[in-house]
Amino acid sequence: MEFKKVVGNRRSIRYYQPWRDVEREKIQTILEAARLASRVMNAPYPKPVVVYRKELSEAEINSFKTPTTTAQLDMAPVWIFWYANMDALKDAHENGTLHGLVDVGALNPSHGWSHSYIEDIVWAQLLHPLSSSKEIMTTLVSEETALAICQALLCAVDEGLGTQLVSCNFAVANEMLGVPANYIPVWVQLLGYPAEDPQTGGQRPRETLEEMASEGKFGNPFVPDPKVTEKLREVGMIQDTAPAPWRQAELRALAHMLDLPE
Amino acid sequence: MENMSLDDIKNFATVKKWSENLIEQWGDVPDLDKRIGALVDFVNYVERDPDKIVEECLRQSDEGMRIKLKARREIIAEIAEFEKEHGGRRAGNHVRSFLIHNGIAMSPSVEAGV
Repeated sequence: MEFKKVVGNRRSIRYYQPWRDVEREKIQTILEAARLASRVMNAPYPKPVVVYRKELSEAEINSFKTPTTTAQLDMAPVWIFWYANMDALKDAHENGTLHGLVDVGALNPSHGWSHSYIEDIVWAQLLHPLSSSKEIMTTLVSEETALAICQALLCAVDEGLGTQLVSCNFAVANEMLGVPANYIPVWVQLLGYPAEDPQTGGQRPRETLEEMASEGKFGNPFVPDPKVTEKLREVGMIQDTAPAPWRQAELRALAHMLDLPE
Repeated sequence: MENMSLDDIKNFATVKKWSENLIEQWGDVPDLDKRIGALVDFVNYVERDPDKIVEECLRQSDEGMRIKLKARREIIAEIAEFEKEHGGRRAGNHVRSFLIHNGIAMSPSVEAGV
């Protein structure tokens, strides 16, 4: 699918076909998309764990649930538990990926970078002290993992899947999945084939571009060019805003089909 | 609590709110009395009136209304028991709908093996 269309088509899917498995090759593709996401200092922040619902017992499934995620967890056949590695900076220093940025020509003398600068200044005076701060690392590793998750979400859409981020009972998940103490939970990404219309009756209502973005100075709205907006509409990045006239009827039909409350 | 009738239960504020919300959400609800009837069966089963059931699950805090998690777990379990004995999943879902439209979020299990 064309990239802009993928962005335009992404929704949080809340109804999945519980009877239809997700092909493992699609899961691998999604994980690769996450692995290749931008990451500051090339450190290994995201630590996803792929879990297949059908391999869990009913008791195990129930132990993950919260009162508002019960139905989705029952329907989605694949759950990716996204954890963030609190020791990512230390790991990048120890395994050489930080210095590797010089070796592969990413951080170059033209921009002031060298092995010596990384070791004596960046690591010793900045990253090492930072990596000892739980508060700073929690923010850093969470936002860096979220960048990877974003690519995983878009890749799932490109693979024709429904996807959504949810919370769960992470205390149970940490223990059941054997997660090391230095990993913190970020999100659970659900994967499955959508039972609802994949475009869910239109894009969610959002603030306008002018309301979101400034130009030149904060508060000076970035005014969109209508020609560009029209072009984005043509390629499917900007779509009609929900709800479509048929959406309520669809929700009712889904509730009947899946035995859910109205 | 004495057994409640369909007419009795319609006078409760939480039932009025549920009915209004259902009509606002879905427009046409031709089987509204049947849905309320399921709630009648439930309140008679648990021997508590609908306002009391909702009140048990909510508390006022400085930030606004909060859900009492333990009470919600208990009512979810009571609905599960009720639907096994009275009217099945559809009846249970009408009771869940009553609670959901009164601000007590919950979602039931879905049979994944269908």
